[in-house]
Amino acid sequence: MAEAAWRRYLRFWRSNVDADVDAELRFHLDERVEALTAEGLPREEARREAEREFGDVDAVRERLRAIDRRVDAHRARANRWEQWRQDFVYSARGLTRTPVVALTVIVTLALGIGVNTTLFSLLDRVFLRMPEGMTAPEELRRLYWVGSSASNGPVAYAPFSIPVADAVTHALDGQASTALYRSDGERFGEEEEKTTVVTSTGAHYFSVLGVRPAFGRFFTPEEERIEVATPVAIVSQRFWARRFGGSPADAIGQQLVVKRQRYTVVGVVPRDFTGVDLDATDVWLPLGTLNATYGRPGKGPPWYTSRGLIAFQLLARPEPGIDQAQLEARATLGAQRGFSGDRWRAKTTILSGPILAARGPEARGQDVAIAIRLGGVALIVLLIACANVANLLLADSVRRRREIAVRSALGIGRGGIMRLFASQSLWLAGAAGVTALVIAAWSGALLRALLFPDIHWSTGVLDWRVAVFTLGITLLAGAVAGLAPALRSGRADVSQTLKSGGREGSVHRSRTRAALVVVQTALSTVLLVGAALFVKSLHAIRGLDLGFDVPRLMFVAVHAAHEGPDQIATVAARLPDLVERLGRVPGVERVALNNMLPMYSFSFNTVLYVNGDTLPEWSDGAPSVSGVSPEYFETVGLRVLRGRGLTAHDVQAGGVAVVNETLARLAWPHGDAIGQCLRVGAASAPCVPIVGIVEDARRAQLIESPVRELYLPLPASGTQAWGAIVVRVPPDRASAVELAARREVAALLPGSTIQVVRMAKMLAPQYRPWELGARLFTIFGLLALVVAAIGVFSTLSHEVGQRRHELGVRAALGAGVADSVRLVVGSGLRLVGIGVAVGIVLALTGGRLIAALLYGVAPRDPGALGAVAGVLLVVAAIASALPAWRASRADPMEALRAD
Amino acid sequence: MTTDSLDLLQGTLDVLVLRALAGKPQHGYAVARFIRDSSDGTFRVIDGALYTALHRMEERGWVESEWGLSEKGKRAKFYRLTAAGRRALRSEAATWERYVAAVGKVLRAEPA
Repeated sequence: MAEAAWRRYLRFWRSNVDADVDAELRFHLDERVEALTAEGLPREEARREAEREFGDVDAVRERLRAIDRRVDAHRARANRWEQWRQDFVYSARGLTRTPVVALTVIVTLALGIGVNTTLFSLLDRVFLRMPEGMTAPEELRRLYWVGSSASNGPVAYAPFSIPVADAVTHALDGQASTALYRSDGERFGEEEEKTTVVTSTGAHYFSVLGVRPAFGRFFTPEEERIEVATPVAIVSQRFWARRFGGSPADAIGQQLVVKRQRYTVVGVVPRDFTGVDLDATDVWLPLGTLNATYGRPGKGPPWYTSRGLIAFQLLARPEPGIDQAQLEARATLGAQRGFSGDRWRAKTTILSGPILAARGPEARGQDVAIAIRLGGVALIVLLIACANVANLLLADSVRRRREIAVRSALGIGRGGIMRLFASQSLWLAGAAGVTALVIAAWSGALLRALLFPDIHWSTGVLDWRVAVFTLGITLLAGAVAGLAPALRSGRADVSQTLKSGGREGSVHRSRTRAALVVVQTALSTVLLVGAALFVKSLHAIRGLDLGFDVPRLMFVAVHAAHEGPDQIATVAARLPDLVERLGRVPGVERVALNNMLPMYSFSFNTVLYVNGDTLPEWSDGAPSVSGVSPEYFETVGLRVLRGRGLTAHDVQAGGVAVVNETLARLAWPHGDAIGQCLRVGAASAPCVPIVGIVEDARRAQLIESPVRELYLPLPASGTQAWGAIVVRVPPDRASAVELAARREVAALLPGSTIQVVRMAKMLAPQYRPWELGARLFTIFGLLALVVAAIGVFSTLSHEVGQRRHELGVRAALGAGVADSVRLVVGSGLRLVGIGVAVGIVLALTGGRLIAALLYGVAPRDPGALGAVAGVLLVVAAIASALPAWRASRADPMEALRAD
Repeated sequence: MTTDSLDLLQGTLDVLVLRALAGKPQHGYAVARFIRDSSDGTFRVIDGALYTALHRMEERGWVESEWGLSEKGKRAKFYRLTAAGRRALRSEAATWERYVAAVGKVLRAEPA
């Protein structure tokens, strides 16, 4: 055995190959010479004869050496693999001997890796992966137009109005083909509608995307005409399977009801095509079918000529040779033509971005912004996990240093020991990686549901891209976590360790471990500061006064069974009756009407004229106008600041208006608005006197620059499609009142449909990003805190174990319990103190990265920083307590006898 | 010398060497002696080619080598057949016997 090892060792030397060949040939020739001599030949002649029989000795020698070198190299490779294999088996056995350490390491790493896998899976889908099922999606460009707002400067918008989109398409003729579509996220709909994502498509949508029907056909040019609403539909295979089951080929010719309209299925898209956006489309309809939503029969110009209906996404596929600048320049010309006459938008420019909406120039939604930051958080969590694991492995390697020293003494080189550690890390990381995938499958779905609850995802959380990413990050984490102990052990001094009984020589390791604790603490501080800022920010948002008494408001909307003019009139005629009945329902405090839902993402805007002049230029859009019943202000909780509200008399007589604070201030900066008059819509309209000023309320969003608003008296029967009955009711009575409202509507307007929504619930999606930011950052922060606490605890425990001797001596010399405790807790606090200081510096530098996601709190908020520092120091003190207690119990006799 | 005859020679030498090692491990000189003696001197093998064959077979995994002591107590490199080598010997020997039988048949046949 020793012989073999010795030879294997020598084999690595090339000169040995050469010498072997020489020796072998010499032996042969000597033997032959001897044999020939024995046969009677003289020695000289015998040698010549032997060499003659051999052939060209030098040439053969070279040939043999070449072969042997190859054999040697091959054997060395095989050897290395074999050693790896042995180390692998050996380290696996080692790990099963210390299952607690192994499990802790695996769980810690799995959490770190799993978090990253989860975030990668999400961010990959949002930012990196092109939608499937279309031809060359990377060539497609999404178009944006640039408007400017008073507060934010130029802003890019993705949605176009149809006239502007048409003008752009026209201008691009010959240079690019365009596709217009609208994916409908109707969330104020009924259950069934919420689960069906509809994309309304303009002409050439499928051909521009490069999709061919899997079954049936796509829309004909006649069906694609926007002027007609042909009831034909194309469905996705998943939708068909989900809704009806059976083969998608059978879908052709079937009837389908979407949004209370009946459609005939004419085509099915290929399996992998789910539309352009993240939200997987179920049903495609011709754009003309939106007439049911936007059209107002018999009144005014058709909906698709409105430049105010800004709701359509525009994609362009440039012809070969057309670059981005040319495309944008041409499209800009078209858009400016489309906006001509619009004083605020006629100077717009067009930008283009990748088809992935999140990579475009449009301002990112808060959900996406949070997801990006969470990616950073995930990396920090992984770093903390790696530091912690490195710490655990170091402690483990300290425990194993005798074994390692023995191996070194047996002649296993530094490389061999490093390999042993590396294979141990690979085991741990591999197990962690697999666990991480399991975690990610679950947490990825959870994160999707939390951050993007309205999106129908076309693919699962895990796929090969995610698996490859996980493999990469697992190897990386294994390498990072395993590096420190491996390097340390590689440096172990054999004789020193064996001589000293393994007590000395640990100073360096303690220092490394202390540094790791500092790193962990610093990173945890960063995460906790982030969490504190998000929590404060959430409080600030929750504390915002929106103008409305949100918790007490409930909206009731009634829709006729069929949206014809007659039915709408019937509903309108019954409204006063309904309002009165609702007012009598127990618990209802007040009922009012509004022709526009408060804070619904839609408003009527118009131009106002003051004394014949238009109001000063407001580039962020025209003031909004809503009709309200006299009870409205009191019902929603808006205070009348000056003048009076509206009365029943105003409703009859008309001709008066109430403005909000902002409109009053902007229109009459130097005088009193009351008594002034406004012309609504046209300079020739009658001048409406202003009788009161009410406080500002939000128009659409929690955070928006103050909006100018004008209120006109609304006749009781005058509510329109977007309006609703506003009911003021204490939150605890809301359910009962909702039931009563449904009953009343059923009695009064049989066959109609009713939608009841509480304002708090309607606004919940707007609060959700803030809540999520606070919640997710807090979870990660606490996770980091726990890991850091474990790090402090294990480092100190280990140190106490190491210093038992010293503590014993101290105790023997008369040091009290308090001294030992102070010693241990002091060193714990010192480590954490340094970590917190570093962390706060990091947090201050990195604060601007999340500043955009905060509201009402600065990233350098001293309260948040102070609180986090306090929490960490308290946790450090607690984590030091047990080791300190053990230190205080150090028995001088036992400690001194331990050797 | 054409490529064909080289291959033939190489193959022939291989099977002879494998045969020589079929018993106990041998050093190269013993293999040479075995071939020379057992063919009654019919085969005049160039010893250099024999060693090349041995080393090639080691590369191919047919034989393993180990240093040991010769009958006269000198340090010598011994070769031993591996399992793969035994398989090779069986198949090469079979091929040869078929070949020899075929040649014999042709030689015995009367031209028509």
